[in-house]
Amino acid sequence: MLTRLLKASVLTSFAFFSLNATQFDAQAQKDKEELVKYFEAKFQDPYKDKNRFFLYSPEEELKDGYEKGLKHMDFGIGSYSYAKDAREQYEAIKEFPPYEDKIEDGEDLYTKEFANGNSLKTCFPDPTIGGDYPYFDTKRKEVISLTTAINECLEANNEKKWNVKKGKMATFQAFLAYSTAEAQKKMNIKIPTKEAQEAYERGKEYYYTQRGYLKLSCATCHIQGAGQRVRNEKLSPLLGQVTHFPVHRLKWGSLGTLERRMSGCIKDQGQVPPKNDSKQMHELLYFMAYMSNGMPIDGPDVRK
Amino acid sequence: MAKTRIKAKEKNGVVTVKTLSKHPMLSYVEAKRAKKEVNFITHFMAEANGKVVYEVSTSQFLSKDPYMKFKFTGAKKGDKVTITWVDLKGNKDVSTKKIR
Amino acid sequence: MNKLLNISLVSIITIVFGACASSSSPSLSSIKDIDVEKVCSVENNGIEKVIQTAKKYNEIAKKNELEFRRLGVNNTDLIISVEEAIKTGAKEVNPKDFKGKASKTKLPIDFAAIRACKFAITALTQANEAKTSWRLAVPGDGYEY
Repeated sequence: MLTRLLKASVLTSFAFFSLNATQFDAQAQKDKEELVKYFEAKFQDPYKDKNRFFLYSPEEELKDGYEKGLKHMDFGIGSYSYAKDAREQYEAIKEFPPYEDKIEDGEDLYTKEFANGNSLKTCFPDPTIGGDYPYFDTKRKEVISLTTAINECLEANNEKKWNVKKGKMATFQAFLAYSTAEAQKKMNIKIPTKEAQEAYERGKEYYYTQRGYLKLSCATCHIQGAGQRVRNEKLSPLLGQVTHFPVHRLKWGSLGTLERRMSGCIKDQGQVPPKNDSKQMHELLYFMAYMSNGMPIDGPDVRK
Repeated sequence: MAKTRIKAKEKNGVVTVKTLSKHPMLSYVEAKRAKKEVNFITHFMAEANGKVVYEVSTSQFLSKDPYMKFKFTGAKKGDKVTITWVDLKGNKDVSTKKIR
Repeated sequence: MNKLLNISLVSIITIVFGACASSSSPSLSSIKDIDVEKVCSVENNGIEKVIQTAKKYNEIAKKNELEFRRLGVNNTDLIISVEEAIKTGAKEVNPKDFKGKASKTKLPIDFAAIRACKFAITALTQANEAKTSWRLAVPGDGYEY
């Protein structure tokens, strides 16, 4: 009797499972659409909607300093889409991008042979993969970020792992990002199973949870606070936030990976940041990347 | 010769020049903090067709790898623009580029 | 009849498993009713008790990856500096930063103990609060604009 019941339930759940295979990202899709709706509403006309979104900004600044009528894809360049003066500075720097040499160096790293004859090209035969990471490994049941994948390739070939924040890792990722941008590929994160959906949900909760002695959540600054000014700069939005990595940040004077910026951000909330290859960090990046699905990869790029 | 990158375009008689000069540009305070020698560009000049078209005496306020953008008239496509800069230690760099 | 028995059996097992899972971090949820001002007051409890409270709760915060860091100083290092100062009788603390070098933070010992205690407890109460309030910030969920 029990075995018959078991068999029946297994069969029905299997059928249910396969029918819902494409629905594991239904919630994520909804979240993304809501996010786009919010940002398009917020930056439709900052001056007009002062009382709704920009209660504390001076009127003059809203009138003269903000771009309006922004749509989904405009947010790819982050706060430079709406901050007019920062946009000018950005375009000036893009005349002579400081990361240009790094792209070539990254290509050298791609083809450089390891001691055993393999190279990074062996692990990543197609370099236009910038928009596919982080991905959910259904066999290992965990989220793998680009940084982790690269380090696992190095380890598997008996090479030393790279620092995940800067140096060779950033240089190589610059080449991957550039190749992806040249191929005009977009952010394309998938949620293939229930476990993946749960990982996404955990990443989402992490993003919206207040933390640190400053009690800030990521959303405090990059959703509710996006467009508002902190000292001299306007905060960037979640939409399009991860499409432009690795980034040459003027503050660093060098190229840095997504993990480098993320742990810096969490530290700014007043908390010890999670390790760069930890489950928490991976799942957070998974959520953030999904929110930028459909947006063109435009790495590497410059930011202040 | 890779010290200064130049872009020069002519449109409707006006030449727009953008330059990026590779230089650490350390002010006195920055140099002390970084325990390096103080050095920054002190004079920056652009010449075209034998005339000086842009000239500026600069000081320690400019940051690393200064970017300059300026316009002038009196030159056409194919003419050359020459950028010369001198720094505190007396180093000099001269770079030339044709106007497009 | 059998089906009903099987279903109730399964549900009982899941409830038990659920209870077991949540009890793996008992102190995190049990911290709800703590009065931070009272517990962290050096005047009322004496500095040794305060720093012990701080240490106890900071360990839980660390385990749950919620430890605070302020201007490069982890709460753990702040606690260590207070403990050392109690031993040597110093009036001021200068904790090490998270890289092991001397930080710029210099505080009178009582204030440092209070801060260490508050930081440790707040990390936990905040995390608990966030579990039910985080959806209020999600556009399309709890966030209205």
